[in-house]
Amino acid sequence: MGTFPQIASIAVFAGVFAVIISGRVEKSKAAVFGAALILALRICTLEEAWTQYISFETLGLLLGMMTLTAIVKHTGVFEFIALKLDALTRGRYGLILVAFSAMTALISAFLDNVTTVLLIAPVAIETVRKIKKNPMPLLIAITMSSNIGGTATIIGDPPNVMLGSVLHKSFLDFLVNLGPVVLLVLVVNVLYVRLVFRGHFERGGGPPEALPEVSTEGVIRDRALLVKSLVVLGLTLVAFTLDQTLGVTPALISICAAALLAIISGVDTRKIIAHVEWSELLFFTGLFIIVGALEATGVIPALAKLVVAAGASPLLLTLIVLWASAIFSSLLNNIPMMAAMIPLLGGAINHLGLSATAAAPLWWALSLGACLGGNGTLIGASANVIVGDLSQGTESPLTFRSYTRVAFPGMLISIVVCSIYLWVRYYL
Amino acid sequence: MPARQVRDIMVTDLITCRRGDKLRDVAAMFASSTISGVPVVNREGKLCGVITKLNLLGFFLPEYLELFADIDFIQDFSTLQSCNLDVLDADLLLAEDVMNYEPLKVGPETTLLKCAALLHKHRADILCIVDDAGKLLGVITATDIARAFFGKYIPGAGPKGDEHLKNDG
Amino acid sequence: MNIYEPYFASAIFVAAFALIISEKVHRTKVVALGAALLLVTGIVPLGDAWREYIDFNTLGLLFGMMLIVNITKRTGVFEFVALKIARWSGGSYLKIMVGFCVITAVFSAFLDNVTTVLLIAPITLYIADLMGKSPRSLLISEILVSNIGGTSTLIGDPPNILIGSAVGRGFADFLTNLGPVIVVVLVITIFYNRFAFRGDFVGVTNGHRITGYDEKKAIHDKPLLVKSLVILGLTIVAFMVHELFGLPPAVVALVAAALLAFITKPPVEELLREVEWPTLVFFAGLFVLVGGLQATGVTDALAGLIADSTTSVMVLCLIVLWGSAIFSAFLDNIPFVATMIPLLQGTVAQLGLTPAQADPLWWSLALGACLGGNGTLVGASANVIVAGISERTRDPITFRSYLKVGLPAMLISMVICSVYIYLRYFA
Repeated sequence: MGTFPQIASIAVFAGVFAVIISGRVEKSKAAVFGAALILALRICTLEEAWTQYISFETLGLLLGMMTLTAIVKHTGVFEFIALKLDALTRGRYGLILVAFSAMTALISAFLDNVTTVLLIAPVAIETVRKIKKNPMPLLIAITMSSNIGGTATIIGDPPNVMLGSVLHKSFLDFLVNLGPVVLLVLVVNVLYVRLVFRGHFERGGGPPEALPEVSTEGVIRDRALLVKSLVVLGLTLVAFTLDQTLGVTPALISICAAALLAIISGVDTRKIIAHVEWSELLFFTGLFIIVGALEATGVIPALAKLVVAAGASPLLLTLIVLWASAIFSSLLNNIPMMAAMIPLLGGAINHLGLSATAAAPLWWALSLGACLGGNGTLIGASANVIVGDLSQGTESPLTFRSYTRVAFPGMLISIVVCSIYLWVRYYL
Repeated sequence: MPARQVRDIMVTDLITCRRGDKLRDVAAMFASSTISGVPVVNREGKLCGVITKLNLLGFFLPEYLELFADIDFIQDFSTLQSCNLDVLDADLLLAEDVMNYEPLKVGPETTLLKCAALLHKHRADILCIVDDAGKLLGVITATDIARAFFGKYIPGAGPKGDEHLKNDG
Repeated sequence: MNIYEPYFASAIFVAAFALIISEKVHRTKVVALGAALLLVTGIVPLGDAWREYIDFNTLGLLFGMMLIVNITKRTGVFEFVALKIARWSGGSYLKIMVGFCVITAVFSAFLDNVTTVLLIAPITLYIADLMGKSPRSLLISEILVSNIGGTSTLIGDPPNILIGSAVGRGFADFLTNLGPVIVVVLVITIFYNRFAFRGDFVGVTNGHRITGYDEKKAIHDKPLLVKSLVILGLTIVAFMVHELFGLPPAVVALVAAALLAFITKPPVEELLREVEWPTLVFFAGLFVLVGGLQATGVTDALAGLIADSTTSVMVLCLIVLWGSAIFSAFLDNIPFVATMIPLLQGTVAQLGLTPAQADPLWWSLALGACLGGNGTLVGASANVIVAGISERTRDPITFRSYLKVGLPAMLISMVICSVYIYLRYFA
C-alpha cells in the first residue's frame, strides 16, 4: 500500500484525529478542513463526496431528532418530569437514585443525551441538596444512565444513528436486539453505584416531612406545545416501529416529524434553527468524506483483509470488537472511530462471507462498545462533560479522577454483561 | 427569611413626564439630578414609556452609527454635521420622540433578585413598578438594588447600613 | 409520465413566481413548498433532484464565498480601504465619487453585491455627513457600480455562478469575455453619474472636512487581516487557474473557506449562523422547480419554439440581452436566469450550435440579467438593501428619484453591451 491517494488519505485522517484530540481547533473545523484537503488533492471529486460518501441518512436522522428535542425543550417538560420525580421520591435517596436513573435512561433512549442531562441534572442536584445529601452518586448515575439508555434505540446515541443509517437497520432492530441487554446493564449499573456509594444512602438526615413543598406550578411553559410535542413524538415512535412496512427510512420519519412539529408548534423558526447543532452536522459531513476517501482509496478494504487474515472466529471477533470499541470510546471521541469502523467491519464481514444474521452480533457489539464505552471516563461522552461542568458548584465536584474511579469499573462490568449477552444470545 | 420584594425599596417619590412634554425640559431633569431615567405617564398615571440617559444621548448621534460593527475609527465627532447638540434649542422635540415605548416593568411583589436578573439580562438601568392596571407605582435602578444587597459591606455599617445612605435618585 | 404533469409543473412554477413577486410570502418558503410538492408527487424524483437538478457546484460556491467574506469582513479591511480613499480625495467630491465607485465595483467583482453595499453604505453615510452633503447621489452611484462590477467575474453575481456552473465556463472565461465591456460600462457610468448628479458638485469647497477619523483604527484584528487577505488572494489566483487543475470553482471556494476557518478564531457555530441559509435553500428549491419543468419536457418544448423562430444567432443574442435586462430590472433575476439556462441549453442543442457559437448567448444572458438590475430600485437585492438604509436618512432614495438616474444608466449600458456583442462575436 503506497500510492499517493492512500498515503494522503491516511495522513489526513490521522492529522484530523490528532487535531481533534489536542483540542486546539474545533473538531468541526478540523474535519471540514480535512475533507477540503481530500477534495483539493483530488482524492475524490465533489460529486463523489456528495453522492456517495456523505451519509445523508445519518445527517437527516440527527437533524430531525435535534430539531424535535429543541422544540420539546421549550415546553419545560424535562424540568417538570424531574420535579415530579423529586415530589414522588420525597427524601429517600435510594429511591431518588433509582427514579432519576431510570427516567434519564428512558428519555435518553429517544432524545439526545446532552440535552437530557443538561435539563435533568440541575433539578437532581437541588433534590439531593434538599435532603442534605451529597449529589455526586446521583450525578454519576445520571450520566451513566444517559449513555446506557441511549444505547437501546437507533436514535438514542450518535454511534447508533450512524450504524443504523448506513446499514439500513430499523428502530425495531435496535430495540429487539439491544433493549434487553440495555435494561440489564441499567439495573446492574444502578446497583453498582448504590453499592459503591453505600455510605451516602444510609438513613439519616432530616425527616422527609420537613422538606419544602415541590411546586410544579408554571414549570410547563407552554401546555399547548407540550400536547402537540407528545402527539408528534408518539406518532414518530409508531412510525419508527412500522418503518419497514411503510417503506420509509428513520431519517425521513424524523425529518417529517420535525417539520410537522415545527410548523404546528408556532415556535419561531429562527429559534429552532439556532438550537440545532449545525457544527455537529458539519463535523459528521467532513468525517464522512475523509473516511469515504479511506475506503475508496483501498485503505480500509486492505485493513479488513488483515483483520480477517488473523483468523479469529466470529465469536472472538465479536468480543474483540466489543472490548476494543469500548476502551477506545471511553478515552477518545467515538464518532471518528465509528465512522472508520463501519466500513472496516463491513469489509471484514464480506471477506468472511458472513450472512446478514451471522454478521448481526458483530454490529451489535460495535454499537454496545461504542455507546457504553463512553461511560468509562469523564471525557468519554459529551453528556459526561456537561454533568462534570454542572457539578462544579456542588460539594463534591466531579473530577476526572473521582468520576473515572467509579465509572470505569462500572463500564467494565457493563461490558462483561454485554459479552455474556452476546455469547448467550447469538452463539449458543 | 422571605425574599425582599421590590416594593420595599422602590423609589416612589418620582420625577415623571408626559408624552407631550418638551424634550428639553426632560433633558433639564437629567441635568439637575442623578436619575437614571424618567418614566413617561399619561393623565391617569399609567406608564407608557421611559426615557433613559442612553435614549437621550443616542438622540444626538447619527443613526448610521448603528450600521457599523465598530466605531473606533471615528476620533472627532465634531466633524459630523448631523451630530448636533443644539437640536433641542428649537422647541420642536417632545418626550415621545425619544422615549422607549416598551419599558421594563414588574409588579410590586417581585423579588429583588428577579429585578436584578431582569436588569442584567436586558442591559437596562431602570425598572418601572406598575400595578395590575398599569399605573406607575415606583421605579428601581441597579444602584438601588446594589445598595440593598451590598450595604452590609460598608465599613462601619450597622444592621441598618443601607438606610443612612438614602439620598436623591 | 402522464399528460397532466407538464401542466402541473408549469402551474407550480408560475404560482411560485407570482407569489415571489407579490412579496406576500418569503421567497424561500415559496420555493421550498413548491419543491416539496414536486418531490412528493414524484414529478421530480428525489434521486434526480439530488443528482441532476440541484446544482451543488453553485451551492458550494455560494456557501464557500459566504464564509470567506464573513471572516474577512470582520477585519474591517473594507471600511479601511473606503476611509483611505476618502482621505486620498482630500475633500474633492469628484474624487470621492470616483474612488468609492471604483472600490465598490472591484469589491463587488469578488464579493457578493449585498455584502459590498452593506460595507460601503455606512462609510458613505459617514463621509457624506462629514461633508455636510446628502448621501443620496453617492448611494445611487454605488448601487449602479456594484451591479456593474459584479457582472465581470464568475463569483461576482449569482446569475454568473448559475451560468458558469451550468455551461462549464470558468473564472477566466468570464473575465476575458465580460471584463472588457464591464470596464467600458463602468467608466461610462461614472461619467454619467458625474453628469446626473452635477448639482451636487456645485459649491463644494470643504476640502479640509475629511478629518476626524483614523482609518487605521478600522482594522480590528491584524493577524486575522493578514490571514484573510492572503487566503483571499490565493483564492482569486486559484480561481483564475482552476481549470488547469481540474478543480471545480466550488471546491476552490470550499477549500479556501475551510482553510481560513481552520486557521482563524471565529467558532464554527458563529460562522454558520452568519451564512445566508435562506438564500441557499432558495437556490436549492429553485433548482427543483426548474427541474420540474425540465423533467416534464416543458423547457424542451419552449426551447423548440425559440429555436424554430430564430433567424440569426445574433438577433437571438440581442433579444436575450434586452429581454433579460428588462425582466431583471423589475423582477428577481435569479429565478429568471435559472429558468433561462435550460431553455437556452435546449435551444442551443436544437439549433446545433457549437460551444463557441453558443458562447455569445450566455454572455448576453449574463450581461442582461446582471446589468438589468440597475434599472429600478427593486431590480437587485443590493438596490433594495441600500434603499432600506437610505430610508432612515433625511434624504431617502425614492423609487422615482432612482428611476430617473438608474434607468437611463442601465439603457446606456445595454447599448454598449449590444455594440460589444456585435463587434466581438459577430463582426
